[in-house]
Amino acid sequence: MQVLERALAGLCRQVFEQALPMRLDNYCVKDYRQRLTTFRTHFKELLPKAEWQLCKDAAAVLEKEGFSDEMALEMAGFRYLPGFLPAVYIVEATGADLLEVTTAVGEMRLRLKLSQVMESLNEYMPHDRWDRAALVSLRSAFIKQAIKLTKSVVAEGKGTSAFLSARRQRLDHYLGLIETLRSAPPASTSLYVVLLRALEAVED
Amino acid sequence: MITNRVVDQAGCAFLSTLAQQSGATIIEGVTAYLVFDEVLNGAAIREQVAAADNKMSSTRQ
Repeated sequence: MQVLERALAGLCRQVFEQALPMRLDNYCVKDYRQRLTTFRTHFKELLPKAEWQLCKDAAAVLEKEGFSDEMALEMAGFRYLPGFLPAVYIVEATGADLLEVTTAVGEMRLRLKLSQVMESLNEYMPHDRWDRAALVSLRSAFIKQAIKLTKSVVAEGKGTSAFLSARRQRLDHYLGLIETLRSAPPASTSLYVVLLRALEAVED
Repeated sequence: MITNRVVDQAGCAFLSTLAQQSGATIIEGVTAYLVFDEVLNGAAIREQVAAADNKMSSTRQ
């Protein structure tokens, strides 16, 4: 149940962060369901081999517990849904193919070492409620910026590597800051603000 | 009534956390939650999970 609620919370957050259309009517439900189906159809190709195996294993356990094969696979895939809405946003903004966009989202996450940034933000101990609020804003700002960059990659149409190669110097500066982050965990949120600016500068 | 449903399923902090994180109003948060709950077939999944008593450990449920 928690996995479902976590997926729902992630999807809700993304809708507001990406300013995606949202109305309480059947058309809106049908629209998102259609896109989700496309996303799920390509799950196997979109996930790295090891992740796909983990997903299948989790689904097999659920099947043994009495769930239909279709529902078991859907439930096992919940944890990958946060990547779904940013992809939809980019598809809507650029008119590109969902599969191409989802691949770019995954590649950019990897190349920009976003998991390491998120991990560091999760480990950071806030000093007061403003520090806590700053962490929430930073987390959302990093994701937003990564999606903005991915949108530019897709719009440019030359692929992730070509996009980043053309911005090598700024990317290296950003990646260098991530190394600093890893070697000495920050005592305040200042380094994250500088890192966010460096990520924004990759596109400038 | 609808807000009760969201609170029962997602927890009492869900809507305020969402509002704090994304700037959404409570009404917008409730709308998004209900739409995605429908998209993911949340009701059917909750029903199945509840029906899995004795087949699935309580931790897994």
